[in-house]
Amino acid sequence: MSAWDNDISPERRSARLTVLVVTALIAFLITLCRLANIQIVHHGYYSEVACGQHTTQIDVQARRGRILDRNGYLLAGNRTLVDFQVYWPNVPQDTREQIDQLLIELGEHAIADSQSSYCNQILAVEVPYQRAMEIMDSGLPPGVSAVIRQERTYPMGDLAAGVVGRQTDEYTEGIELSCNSQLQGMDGRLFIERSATGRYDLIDPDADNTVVHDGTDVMLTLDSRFQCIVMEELEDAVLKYGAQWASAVLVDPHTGEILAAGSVPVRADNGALAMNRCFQGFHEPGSTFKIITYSACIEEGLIAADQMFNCSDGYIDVAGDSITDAHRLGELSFDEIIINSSNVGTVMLARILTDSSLCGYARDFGFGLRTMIEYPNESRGILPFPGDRGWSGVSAAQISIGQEVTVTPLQLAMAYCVIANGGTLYYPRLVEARRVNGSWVDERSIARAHPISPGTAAIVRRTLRAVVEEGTGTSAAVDGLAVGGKTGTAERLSGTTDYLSAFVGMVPAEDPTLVLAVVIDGPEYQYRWGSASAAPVFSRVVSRVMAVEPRLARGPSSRSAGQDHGLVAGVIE
Amino acid sequence: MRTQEGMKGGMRNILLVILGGILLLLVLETGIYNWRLILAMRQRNLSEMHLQLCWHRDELLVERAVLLNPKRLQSVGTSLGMGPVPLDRVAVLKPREGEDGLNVCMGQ
Repeated sequence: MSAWDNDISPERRSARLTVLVVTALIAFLITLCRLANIQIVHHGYYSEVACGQHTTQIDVQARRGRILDRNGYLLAGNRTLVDFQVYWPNVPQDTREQIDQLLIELGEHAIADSQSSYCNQILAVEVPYQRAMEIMDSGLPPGVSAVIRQERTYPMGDLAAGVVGRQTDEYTEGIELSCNSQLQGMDGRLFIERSATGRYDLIDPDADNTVVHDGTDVMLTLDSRFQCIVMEELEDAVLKYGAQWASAVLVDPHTGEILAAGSVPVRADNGALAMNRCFQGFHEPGSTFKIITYSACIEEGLIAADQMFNCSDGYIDVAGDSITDAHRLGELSFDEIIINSSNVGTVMLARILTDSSLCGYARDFGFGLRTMIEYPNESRGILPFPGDRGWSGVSAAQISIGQEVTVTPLQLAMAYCVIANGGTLYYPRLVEARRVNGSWVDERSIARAHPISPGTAAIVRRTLRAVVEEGTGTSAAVDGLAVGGKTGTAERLSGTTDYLSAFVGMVPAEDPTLVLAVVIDGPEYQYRWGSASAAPVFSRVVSRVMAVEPRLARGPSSRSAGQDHGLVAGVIE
Repeated sequence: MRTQEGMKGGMRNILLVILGGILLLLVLETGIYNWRLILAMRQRNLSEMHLQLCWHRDELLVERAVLLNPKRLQSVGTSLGMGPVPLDRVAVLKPREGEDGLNVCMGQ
């Protein structure tokens, strides 16, 4: 018998129906209120929760731009590595064997061998991405996730580290720092709509996605072959001469492009990259600076060609102080002062100039100014001017022979480039080109000043050649190649007396294609002279560079030809 | 009566056409949606492939650079007996008589 049988009175049935309808209405109203609460009052909250459940945000890391040398050799590149980690609370008890199996598969990259007490545990680091992809394709155990990341790598090791620098999560140095804004690119952000199985995960086209922009590739002016030669010779020199540090800069004088820049030691005691002394270190230039005094006198036309200077006393009094020569050199001509590197003769030349004129020429040659090279924390050196604090009656004389003034090896090389290229001071460059929209855009060389005329430069080049052929720089000679250059020895007072040996030269002397500055700090006493340590290093570096690239021995015309004439470095029996 | 029946029949036909059209549009929309889904998945797969190829290219470039490291080439060449002669035996020769001066080579 059902409830709707006729034995129930119509009134009662009506009452039941009324109760049912009222109950249904109340239920409907409650549902409606709840719906309004969810859909209208808390709409924002619930839509956010829903979005969070089916949408994932992925940060896409931009690939950092590569750094290449002038021949396209990779100096800094990227590697893709994968780290594996586990979240233990998400690992079912019966799948732990799978994690042990995964650790075996990860081999030498695994760093965990048992479950730690922490919820999160890193299982393996720096797994090459190919290996990681194979593992991931076969499926990861529950609770295990992979983190894909890019890491910077330097195939040349420390050979160009001083210039290229390093880029890690903690610090950025060298070119990596100075070109960071171009190299780093711009990270992107994607919103992915997830499906239950993960098979249909797709980018949400309506979300606020940001496109990733990879970093710009940068081509340096460095030639990795020359860089290797310079670094090897400097390392040998530091060992052989017992020096504290050594640095060398190889420059193309017609463009200001730096072909090699070595500084040894590359690393400090704590393993971090040491200061690059080519750009950041400074020292007294010693006799290498005399060429500025000499050039200024020629440019000003203050010296007669047959004028002689009496240096037979071996010393000269300057404002109560005495400046001496290593030997008594007798009566010297204008050129012989430089050829024999006479301090006394150079001071006599400086006396012909006014103090401000001498300092002005030094400034025009780029001393006391930052070269504006694309390298962080470049030193400007010190060049005092008359009237500056500390300027004394002996200052001009000291500056004329390279004392009381400090320079960087790069400044020294660039000043000699002025003589090599006929009188133009260029801004030095480390960046050859940048890749914009797939094609390389060359950087241009910019002239900074014209301190001397081509005629003066030619005279100075001739004298520099004589320095190597018959003067203090004979140990810098290269068989079969005309070399011009100047030695320098500076006494450095740092508790104990140390010396600084330098040689700056150019090849071929009559029409140079290369200028090389070599500075060796704190060599043993018997190697203290520029001719005893720096000049032989110059000779070895130039010989090896010419053996690698014999066209450079022909002068700048070989470069403008822009093609290989089939020349081979080798030996004719 | 016949006119009324005719009108009813016409209305029915129109309704059927409209319903058929709506059904067709639904089928079309489903088809287009699936087609878009397939394209989006293909694009995703191609993007992943592109990314992996970029990684692979980076890896190969690094490997090539390691192999072409001038220091390594020198040591390999030297071990094969192709190393440079001692520098005191090397000189740059001047151009021969009658040559244009472009050819310069190293000589012993």
